[in-house]
Amino acid sequence: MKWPRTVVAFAVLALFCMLPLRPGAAELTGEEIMDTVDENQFIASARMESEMIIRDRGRENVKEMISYVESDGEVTNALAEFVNPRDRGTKYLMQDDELWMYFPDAEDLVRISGHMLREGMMGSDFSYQDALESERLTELYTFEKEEMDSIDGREVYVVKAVAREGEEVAYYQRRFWVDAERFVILREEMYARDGRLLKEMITREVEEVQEGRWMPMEVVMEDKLKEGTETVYRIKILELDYDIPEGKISLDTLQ
Amino acid sequence: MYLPRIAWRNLTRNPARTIIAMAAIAVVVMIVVFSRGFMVGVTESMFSSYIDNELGHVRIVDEEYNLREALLPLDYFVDGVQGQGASQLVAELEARDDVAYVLPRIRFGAMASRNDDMVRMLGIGIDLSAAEQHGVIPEEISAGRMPREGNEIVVGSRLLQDLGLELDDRVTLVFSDYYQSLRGRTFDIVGIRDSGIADIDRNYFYLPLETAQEMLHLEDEVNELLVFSPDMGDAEALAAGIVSFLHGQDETRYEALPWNRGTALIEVYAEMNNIMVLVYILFIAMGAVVIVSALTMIVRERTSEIGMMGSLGLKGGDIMRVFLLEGTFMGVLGSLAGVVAGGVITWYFSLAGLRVDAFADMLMDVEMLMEPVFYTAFNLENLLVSFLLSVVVVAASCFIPALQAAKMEPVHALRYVDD
Repeated sequence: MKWPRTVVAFAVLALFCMLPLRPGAAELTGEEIMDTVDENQFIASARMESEMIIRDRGRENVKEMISYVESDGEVTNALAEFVNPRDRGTKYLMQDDELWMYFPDAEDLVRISGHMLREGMMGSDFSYQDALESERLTELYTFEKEEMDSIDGREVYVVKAVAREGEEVAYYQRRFWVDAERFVILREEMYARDGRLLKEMITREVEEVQEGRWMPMEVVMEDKLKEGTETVYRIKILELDYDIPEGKISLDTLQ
Repeated sequence: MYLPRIAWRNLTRNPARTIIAMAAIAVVVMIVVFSRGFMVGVTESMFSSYIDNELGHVRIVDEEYNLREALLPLDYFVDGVQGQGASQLVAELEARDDVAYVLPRIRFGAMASRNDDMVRMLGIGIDLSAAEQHGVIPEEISAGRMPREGNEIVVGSRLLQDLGLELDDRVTLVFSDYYQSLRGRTFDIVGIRDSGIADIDRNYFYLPLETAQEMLHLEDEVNELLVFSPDMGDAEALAAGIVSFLHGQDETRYEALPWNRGTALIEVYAEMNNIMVLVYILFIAMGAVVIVSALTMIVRERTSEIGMMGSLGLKGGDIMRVFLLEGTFMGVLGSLAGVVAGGVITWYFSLAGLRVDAFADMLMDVEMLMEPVFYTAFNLENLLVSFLLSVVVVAASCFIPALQAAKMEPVHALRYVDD
């Protein structure tokens, strides 16, 4: 029995439509994976209420802050004001890759630069440089996809990143475990140029902030060069596409 | 008594040789006097710097703080016996007979922004009234005054230069408090300290203890207590006494460290001083070689004379005493001349000081509490010890040629012909 040509054509067309529009898991390159991650993490403007829980040798300090972030894709500026009682009034401004600080008891603003940026922010395991690194990962690193893995039952891509020549980065090498479905980083290791493991970050909680877009809402950072320390960073409220008042993120506001 | 007269008269029989021998000893003794004065002066100066600025005679710290001191932690402190407060512990210590006074201090790290750099420094919170009465800081204020209260600080002279500031300027400093919160505060620079010690002048600033406690969120707590006794030589006993006192009140968190075990550098210098005694002896022995050589020649020249002395009834022991005394007289006169010359030089540099530019430059880059100008120590003890040491070494060196003379057989000595 001969199948009519038309039926065959429709069958082929139907089969074609069933194929996923984006390349299959096996075909995504490291760069494509991280590009999607960058897209997910990109914030044009937002207001966040968050807290940082710093644990150090049995002691626990909690810092609470309200942050405003805006980015045009090239440059990211941010303002964070601490609201917990002990640090109330202290503000940080990230602008043009510089970090400025305001303290209620100080007459002048303080600019942090150079190697000081590698120091822990407020005694935490997050460095100022971690906070300042606003460029897309795909602009800073080259990527190589490794074997698939799984975290808590979720399939993840493992992507190794090496800094591009001439780029100023916080960590020369990094390894990412990226949720294969949600394209959010579930685990990250940061290495020095000599291969020494410097820090490890684990995502404890993710949230779908917009349809199809997932972001980490709670992460734990551990400085591997220090014993007995970890810092939990938790976003309590995230308002994306927030209408930030003109001039809010500026040196004038800081003072 | 006639043997010393004979020995003394023999000194003039060959004046040139006698003078050369004495001059050799004089030069060596002069070097020894100056060297001892120099070493004592340098070590005393260095010890004094460390005691006054870092260690006290005994330093009381939490034992954990002692291990982590390089990190300037604020979570291991001295808060008295069973947490009753540092002030109470200070009062109890000052009530002891073996304690003259106590200086409580807080040390913490800070930094200031200057252009594109962060200038790092060490802040020290000090008890103002105790510092005014007993500390060295007030004496070394080259401009301005000591802080009185609040946000007033005294800054090291080189640190002020590094900050690009002057007296009466204001400076904003950033520091971490007890809760690891980064804080900033603006201070008034009311005084400049010029200690002459590069490490101190480049890195330290001073503020009232109460201010430091308030801004760091500390209560009646300090990092360290510097305990001073009437005599720094009693430090070991004082440290033991303090530990005993603390343990008697079930307080075992603290260590009491005597200054002579305060840093590795001090222990090394103390050892070096012991080793230098051997060096001085060797120096003098070098000079004594000239006298021994002279005496050996004398014995040879006077062999027939020795035979004559023996045949006239002088015993071997008497002959030995003559030559021993002759050598000793040369040693005494040479040592005396050396002590006078060395004493004059040492006295001069005890006042004028000795500056070695290369060493002064090196001190700029090392963490060592040492002044770049060396002042020798001029004292009677040095002169006396050098003199006696020299006389003893010379006398001992003359023993062998004197013994040789004593052992000669008079019959053979009389027939000796010196070719």
